[in-house]
Amino acid sequence: MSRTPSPPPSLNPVPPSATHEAGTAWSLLLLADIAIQQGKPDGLPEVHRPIWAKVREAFQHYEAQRDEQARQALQAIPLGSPFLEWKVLLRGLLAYSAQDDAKAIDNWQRLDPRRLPAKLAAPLRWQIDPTFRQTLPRQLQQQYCQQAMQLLPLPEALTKLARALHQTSLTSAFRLAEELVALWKSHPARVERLANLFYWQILDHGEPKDLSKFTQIFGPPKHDPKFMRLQALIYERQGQIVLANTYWHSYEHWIATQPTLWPGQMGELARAILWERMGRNALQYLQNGDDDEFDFIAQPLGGKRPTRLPLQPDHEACFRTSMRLAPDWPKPAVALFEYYLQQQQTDRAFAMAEELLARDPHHLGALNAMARVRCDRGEWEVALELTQRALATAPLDPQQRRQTSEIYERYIRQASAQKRFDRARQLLGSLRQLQLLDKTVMHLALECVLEQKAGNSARVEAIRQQLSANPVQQIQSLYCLAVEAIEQKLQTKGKSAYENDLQRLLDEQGSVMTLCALLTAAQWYRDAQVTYRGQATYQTKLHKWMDALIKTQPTPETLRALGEVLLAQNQVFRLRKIVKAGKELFPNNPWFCFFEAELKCIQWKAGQAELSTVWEAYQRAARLAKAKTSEYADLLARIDARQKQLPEMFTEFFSFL
Amino acid sequence: MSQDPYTILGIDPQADDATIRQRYLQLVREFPPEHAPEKFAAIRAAYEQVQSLESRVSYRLFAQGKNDSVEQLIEDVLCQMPRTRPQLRLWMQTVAPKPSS
Repeated sequence: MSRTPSPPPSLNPVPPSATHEAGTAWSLLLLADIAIQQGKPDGLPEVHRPIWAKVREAFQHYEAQRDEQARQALQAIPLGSPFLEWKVLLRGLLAYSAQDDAKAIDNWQRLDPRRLPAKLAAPLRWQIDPTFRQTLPRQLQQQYCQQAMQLLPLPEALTKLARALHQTSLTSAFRLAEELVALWKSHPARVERLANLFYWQILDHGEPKDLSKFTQIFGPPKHDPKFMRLQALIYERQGQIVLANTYWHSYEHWIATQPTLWPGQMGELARAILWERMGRNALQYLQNGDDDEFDFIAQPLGGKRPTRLPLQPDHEACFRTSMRLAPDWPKPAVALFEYYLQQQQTDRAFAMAEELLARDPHHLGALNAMARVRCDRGEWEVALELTQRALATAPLDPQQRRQTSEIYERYIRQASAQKRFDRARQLLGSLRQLQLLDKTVMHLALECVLEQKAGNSARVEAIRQQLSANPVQQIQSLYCLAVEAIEQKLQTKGKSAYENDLQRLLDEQGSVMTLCALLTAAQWYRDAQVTYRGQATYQTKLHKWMDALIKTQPTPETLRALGEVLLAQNQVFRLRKIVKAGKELFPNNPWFCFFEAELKCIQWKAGQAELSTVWEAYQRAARLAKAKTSEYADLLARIDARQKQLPEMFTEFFSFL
Repeated sequence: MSQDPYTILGIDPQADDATIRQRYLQLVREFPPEHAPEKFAAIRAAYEQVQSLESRVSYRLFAQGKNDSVEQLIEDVLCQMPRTRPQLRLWMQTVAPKPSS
């Protein structure tokens, strides 16, 4: 097959820069090429002119189909001649015209790509040498194709068809297709490809009348004889889900009756895929309706869609039919599982998770949901096995590591409460391997209480020292130790000591830094869905402390620090207080407008605010920040990043306004 | 060049997962990304379309022939055309750049 062009040593021209002698040799080669191209030997040294004449003669014989005479003329060209490349080109050309592609390729791949013969051979080599064609950059492929189109007698109707399709003029394209079908009677594969081209063109640019025109010219398409798939795709594209599903349904029926085209497992999977698609459409219909029933512009501006009845068959029926047809294919089960979870139909979601895990034992969503429910039921080892399977599936996913850590934490507390210290220590070792640095304080407190219960005072002391190394950690550890003491059922004396320490801290109402540290620690337990005795009291005290700080020390720094903590915790109600106070007291501070925008964003995601208000709030924050760019560069970058996350269409719409 | 994954990979549409993977690995060795980046990308994309039964059925249901274009049809027709006898003058006009002085 094709090789990198490597001319024989005698022909290998040295670039002009090498030496004077080499430069002269290179010039001579170029002169030879120019002499052939111009049809005049004017610039050539006298000694080479007879060979030039022989090359011309060989070409004349070749053009007149006197191949033998052409070969004889070529024999007169010696090895050291500057015309040797032309001899190789012509030899390839003789083989090419004799339909001997292998020999033609063998000659042409020897040509020096810098010389004219290689350039002349390129479009013909492109035509016959698939390896050469495939390894070319796209731009060169197109260039050689264009040149080949001019050299070879391509049917005119085909070039006109290309133009018609570019102008999306299907009517004239159909007329040209008729001509080509008549021309290509002995090329059924070519006609089939042309038909296929028109089939997909109808999806993009067609009209209803094009279907009958298509059948008239090409006959019914083999894979969609009644255009049911095509019409389903068209209606889907138009957002007319009811009609789309009607056609998908018909197409699925048709596939079921075509065992030759869609045999056995393949046919059943195809039908399952179509039912799954219908299920997704039905779900979309239930949530959004048909596009023709609702002005698309109204939704982002806050319009409400009317509640609607489900499509028949509804999404559940579609997904279940799909599951029945292809029991090993997990996609419809995933769709149903996610739907039930979203609808908070927990029992059905878990039943579906069981079914899903039977099909796909590595499905993360199902594994995590099942791990949690097993944990809630006290089936610790099963929960552990499920979460470890999930972790093994996605060992680097931070979200997964967090979810796994929560199962470990709960199990450790339970084991410690039951005085199964060895098991708890074992689990703690696995928990540490997850390396969740932001939970270090919580995990140290967990261990501290565990060792205190186990009577390992040396380790307790060591952990306490570790916790007091940093002031923020020390404050957070007071909260964590109090919670862990309750959760692990530490004896009353030890538990009271921790609770008293925390109470004292809460009653003192110290700095904003202390409050933020405590709010963060409280949030760790809320995120992990850990509930404990005294939780509501601690929360109330923290909130009173916050209210007091807002009243007594309403500096921008205090309010901003609190705002950041509350935002990280999605605490809408409390954050609103910060925004209100911040905007009243510091109307030119962009941070409070930013927090307001974030609040609006949270509300929008919950369907409680209009996207336009979110956008406007970010814009307001950006305007204020731009007034002092040096001070608020980080905030501007944050606003920009948040705005980019808003739906693209909406962004474009408003920037246009 | 055809966009059909079976043509790109040079396999029968009835081929099974193992055969397809074997052919894919063979082609990737033949056209490594550092030497033939475009060809490699085409092989990779073709393989993704047909690597499993699900992807093959999905391709057949929703995408078979969808990316074909009239330009690709022209290319294939050109490549299948009988070899002709180009005239030197026309050939030069079409292909060769004007000689420099």
